[in-house]
Amino acid sequence: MDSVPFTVPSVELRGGARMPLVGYGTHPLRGEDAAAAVATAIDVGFRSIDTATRYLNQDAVGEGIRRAGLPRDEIFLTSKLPPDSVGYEREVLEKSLSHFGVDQLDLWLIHWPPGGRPGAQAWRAFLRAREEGLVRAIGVSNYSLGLLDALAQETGEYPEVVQLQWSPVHYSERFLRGCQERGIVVGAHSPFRSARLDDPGLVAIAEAHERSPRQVIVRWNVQHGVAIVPKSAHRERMAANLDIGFELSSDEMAAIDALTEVG
Amino acid sequence: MARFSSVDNRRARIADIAATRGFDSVLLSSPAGVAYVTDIDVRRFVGPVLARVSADGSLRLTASSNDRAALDEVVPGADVSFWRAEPGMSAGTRAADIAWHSRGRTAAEGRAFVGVAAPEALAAGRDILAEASRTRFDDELALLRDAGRLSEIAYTATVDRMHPELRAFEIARNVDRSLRAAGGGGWWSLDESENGLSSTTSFPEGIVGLLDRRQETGVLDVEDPLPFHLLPLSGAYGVASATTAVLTEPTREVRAAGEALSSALAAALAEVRAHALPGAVDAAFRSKAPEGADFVGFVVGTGPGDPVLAPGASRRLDESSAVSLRASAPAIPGRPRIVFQTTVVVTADGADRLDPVIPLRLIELY
Repeated sequence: MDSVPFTVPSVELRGGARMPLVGYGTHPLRGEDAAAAVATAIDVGFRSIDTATRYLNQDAVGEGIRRAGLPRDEIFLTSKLPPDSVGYEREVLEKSLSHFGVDQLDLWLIHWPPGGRPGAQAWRAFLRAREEGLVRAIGVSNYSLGLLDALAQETGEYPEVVQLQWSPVHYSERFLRGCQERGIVVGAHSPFRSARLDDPGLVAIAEAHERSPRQVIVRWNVQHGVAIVPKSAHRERMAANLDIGFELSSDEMAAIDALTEVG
Repeated sequence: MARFSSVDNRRARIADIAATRGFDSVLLSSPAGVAYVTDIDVRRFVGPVLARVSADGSLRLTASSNDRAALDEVVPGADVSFWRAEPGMSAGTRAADIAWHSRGRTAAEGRAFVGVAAPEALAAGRDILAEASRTRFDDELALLRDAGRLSEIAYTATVDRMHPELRAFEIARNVDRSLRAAGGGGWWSLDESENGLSSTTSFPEGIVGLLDRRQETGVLDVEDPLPFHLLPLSGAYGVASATTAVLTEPTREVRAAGEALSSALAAALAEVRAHALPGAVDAAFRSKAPEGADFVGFVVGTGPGDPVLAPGASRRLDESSAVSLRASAPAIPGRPRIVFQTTVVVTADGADRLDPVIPLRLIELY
């Protein structure tokens, strides 16, 4: 499979940036493996690349994007601030931009709530970075609804995106609806790692669409409006993760929702 | 993880050093020593294990009969003699030349045991192991790099989930879970060293230990600096890393001490390279260190080795040596110190950090 004809849907974030709902996750690739994988992912059809300062692969990701040869504005580039970098936000961002070889990030996330708290100090630095045009959109990762509310209460502004480990076993209607009500797009990292890919119900739905359980999970996220960043170093699997030009019925969506193990 | 088979090279190195010192056989009794010549981590064994390396590099093990099955599993077909623990084993004369570390047993026990197990003249294993450990073979460096990777995972598992309500054992459990998922899980303890390297208490014992904590509760005192160290193993090889978090905005004094200590360690690291003199590294540290700061660098591998960056050390650093550098300083009288520690491989023109993700500065988590 050379590339995927299916066009990945996207969502407009509150600040106006448009984010593809399927992106390419780069953890834990580093070095040439990361550069080659990113170039391949873009060639296959990905237009969103997800990485983080912690992954130590930003220079390789930048190299992969350059190798792909597409105009910069066709790639949605996400990175994340480590929670141990409170007070060093600007320095970390400038290093990220330098490593990527770009002058603007499309999305910058706080990777984890610093010390389990909202991280208002870091968030204010994020707001400044967006005002200065160094990033187009800002968000957080691994935050609960309570922390999102606390952050907004302290700073006056909700994140545009909240990324967290999210698969059918993590599904929470309350969380999803709560984020939608607050104008926050949910992002899914590690979408397959915790999923029960051999669940008979999931397998049956996949067989009904002549797809794999992984493809069903990607499609399920997209239909929920959740941005997903699956990772694979193999071209065929990358292509499969984008080959989601099918529709899950409302019954199928409900059946997958019901796989949740969230109490 | 790949398995490496150059343990023969290490035994040959031990035998060569022994030969230059006039010995034809070397006894290694510490877990670090036994691991060096066997790739076995004996800390999981019921009884002590002794390894004797002969001049031709051949290996003979002596172990408790209680460990027969475990040894058969990890070194099938090895030349092993088994002993059965008897009450009289604890009698004997202290053998100063035999480092006897395992599970709190005394040197006297070791002497009695050696008398039973290895009556021939034996070289002092500890000094020869220290000499052999000054430089590392490529397979050892690969394991040390993997241990550095595990240290970074342990670090992120610590700080990403740290919040003031946690208890120390909950942090340890988070780290253990993350490391097992990444192929790690073993750890070593500074306490097994006789080099005086353990300058502080840690709780709990394990891959991650919170330094200067009250063991009764392991509570995270949010008003205090929160130093913690990480001691993961890859195979039988480990690195040592440490840094310090604060869970509330630090006072001016704490921040100043942290910044000065961070600058001092950076200055020391900038001086580390092959053939550097320990005094030059120490002087670089002292030029920026805050009052009351301590600094030490010691060899790491299958265990903590000799201090090579310490008062009195004079031998130049060796290329391909793995050295852990630890700096600490008081910030609030009577409260936990600020601690930064990293492990590097000494190269021709610098120091290659094995745990670069771990910040050597105060981590402000609030």
